[in-house]
Amino acid sequence: MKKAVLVIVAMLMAFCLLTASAFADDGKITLEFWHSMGSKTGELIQEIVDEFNASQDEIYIDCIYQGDYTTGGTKIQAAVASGNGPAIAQIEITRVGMYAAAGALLDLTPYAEADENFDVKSLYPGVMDFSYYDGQLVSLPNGRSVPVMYYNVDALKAAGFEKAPENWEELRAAAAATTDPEKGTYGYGCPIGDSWYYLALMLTAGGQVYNEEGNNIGFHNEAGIKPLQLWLDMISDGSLYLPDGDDYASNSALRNSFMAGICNITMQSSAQYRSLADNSPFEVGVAYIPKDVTYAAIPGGSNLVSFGTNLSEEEKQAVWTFMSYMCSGDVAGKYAAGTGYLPTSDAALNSAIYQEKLAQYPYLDIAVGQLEYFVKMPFDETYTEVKDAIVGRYTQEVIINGMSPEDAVEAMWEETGELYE
Amino acid sequence: MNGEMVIPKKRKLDKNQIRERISGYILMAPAAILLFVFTVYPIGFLFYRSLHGGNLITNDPKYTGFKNYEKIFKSADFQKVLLNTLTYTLITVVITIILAVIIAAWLKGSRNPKLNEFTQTVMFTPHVISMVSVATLFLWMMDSKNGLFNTVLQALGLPQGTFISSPSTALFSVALVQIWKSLGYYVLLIMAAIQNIPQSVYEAAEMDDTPKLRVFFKITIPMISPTILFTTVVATIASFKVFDSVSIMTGGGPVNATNTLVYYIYDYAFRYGKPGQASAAGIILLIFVCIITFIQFQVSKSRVHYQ
Repeated sequence: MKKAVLVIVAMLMAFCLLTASAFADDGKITLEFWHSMGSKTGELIQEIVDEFNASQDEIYIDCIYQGDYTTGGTKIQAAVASGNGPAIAQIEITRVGMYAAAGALLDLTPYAEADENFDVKSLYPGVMDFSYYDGQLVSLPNGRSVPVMYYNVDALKAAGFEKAPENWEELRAAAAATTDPEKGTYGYGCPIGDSWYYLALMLTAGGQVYNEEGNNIGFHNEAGIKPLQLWLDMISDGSLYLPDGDDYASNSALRNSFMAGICNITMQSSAQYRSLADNSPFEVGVAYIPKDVTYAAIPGGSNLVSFGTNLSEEEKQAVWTFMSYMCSGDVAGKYAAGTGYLPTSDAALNSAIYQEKLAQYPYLDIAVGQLEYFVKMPFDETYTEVKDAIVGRYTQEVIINGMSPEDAVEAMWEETGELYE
Repeated sequence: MNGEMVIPKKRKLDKNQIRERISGYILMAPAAILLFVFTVYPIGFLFYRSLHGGNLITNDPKYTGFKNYEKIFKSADFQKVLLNTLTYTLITVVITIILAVIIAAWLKGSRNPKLNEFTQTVMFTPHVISMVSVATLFLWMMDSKNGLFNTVLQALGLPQGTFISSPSTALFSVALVQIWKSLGYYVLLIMAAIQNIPQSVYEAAEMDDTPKLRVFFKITIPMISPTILFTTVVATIASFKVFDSVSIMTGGGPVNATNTLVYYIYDYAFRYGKPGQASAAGIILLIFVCIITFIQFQVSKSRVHYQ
């Protein structure tokens, strides 16, 4: 008996030694890549990374899923604070500024300038808003999205709507027409706890995310009040479906309801298109966020950054090689085609795989049209607190607790102002 | 300490005594070092950090004095958070302990060992399941529109609950999950205490023909009071630290209705990049737990009977 245990232990040790040396001996540069994409999208990222690893034999990328943007962001902060930040990470765009300000990000400028195969200028200007800090190139777009409107084409047709609603009045009418209390179906659903959608509607009403000075909200006026009033009106129509939970939980609850036919129109990230289209038993339509006075798009999603400021020159070059690979036309095209994220350049848009998928999924490139409506976003660390703790919260105060929209916007303005004092 | 053991001040120690003392410190060292490194130092650092601004990754945060404390005490959010935490603790501790005592007493009195064993196993199982899975399951079951609970309630023709979708019921719903999960553990502890009560006391009561309810209140409860005190303290501290269920089920919402102290700390440290404010809240949590534990021990001095 004792002998058997000994043999097993010895075998285990030998195995450990073998596997350890397999990584150490071949002289490859091994880099960690942390990302925040679960399920199908995560598998797609893994596939892309596997292809990269197989395509050359100098760099090995270790692809690690770290939870959604919030959870992953937490881990990255803890790692960076202790000086062990990942060589490459995917971070939510509004957090880029914080790391850049602290000097934690690798300046990619020299590598980009030296690279003859990949031109940063080929990327769409709209997706480069979060890439430069103090003139340094600190991040590259990967998995960029915009909120779009999804609708159940069959249900809307049955109610006499041949086209997607283009403005708020049409949205309200279409939602009311497809609401059926008997069957428990709602016309329109929105995760109101996630302020992204409120901000998206607010922008179409002519507001701005921040004011000119960048020290308070830019919708301390009619534009801020109108979306809240729209939702209140839809509640009185009985057509607004509110998912339970908060943040990403409410988003996924809402998607499930949409796919189950419980709500017929919803607003979600463009990145959800493939998953919604593939899993819904009806035709899924995509359209711009309906406008009040103007079309506008609020950027979202993630960028790639490197915390490898302490890496060797060779490793830094490897970081760039991988990051530019991720942004290259074919790879970005494949990623966009498999999800609904924006293709980040003409090369991606025209890539064979993207065009092939576009033929199958006619709504895939709707979001691309929104690129020209991209608005400027604040690039500082306080923004997360503003959008979650202030805007998200007062939106809920109005919808759930009956606060008046005017008071809510006033309170948002006051509290944001205090944060910037 | 005994009087004879005090050594007069100026007397020199002989070699043996010195060696004995040194070996004492050496034996104590591992525990003392661990305690210092993992408890004393972090608490000290927490206080130090609470006096500084900056975010988690700035290298040398600026000293700001007690500004962080001032900020959180002034904020209406934080007051709500404190109130939520106290309410949550009160709900979970009171209900858990009362239910645990009643169930333990019932199990003790029941004459069916098979049923006893079965009930205990079933009740204890939730304790070993991870809170993350439990919270996720309850999140689905408590969904106000398509959840299991409301589907069943509807089928029975009963009014449906709002659960975590309404600020007025959300905190209670989260508390319910905690109660469901931890009840079995406390029942087990209290069962053990009841089984330790000498049979002779009950026999004496039986001879006097004491009514069952009187036996319960005058014998069982006083005899297990040390265990009740212990479980109350443990449950209180656990409720103060509630995080996972809040994080998964509600994210502190709707409208801050379930935002508790530890979740607030997490939000400010990691999401909003204000570790100074989070540390200040951490110090407040520490003070609260100390005060409540102290009060519990003081109150119980007159009420708890150690054998």
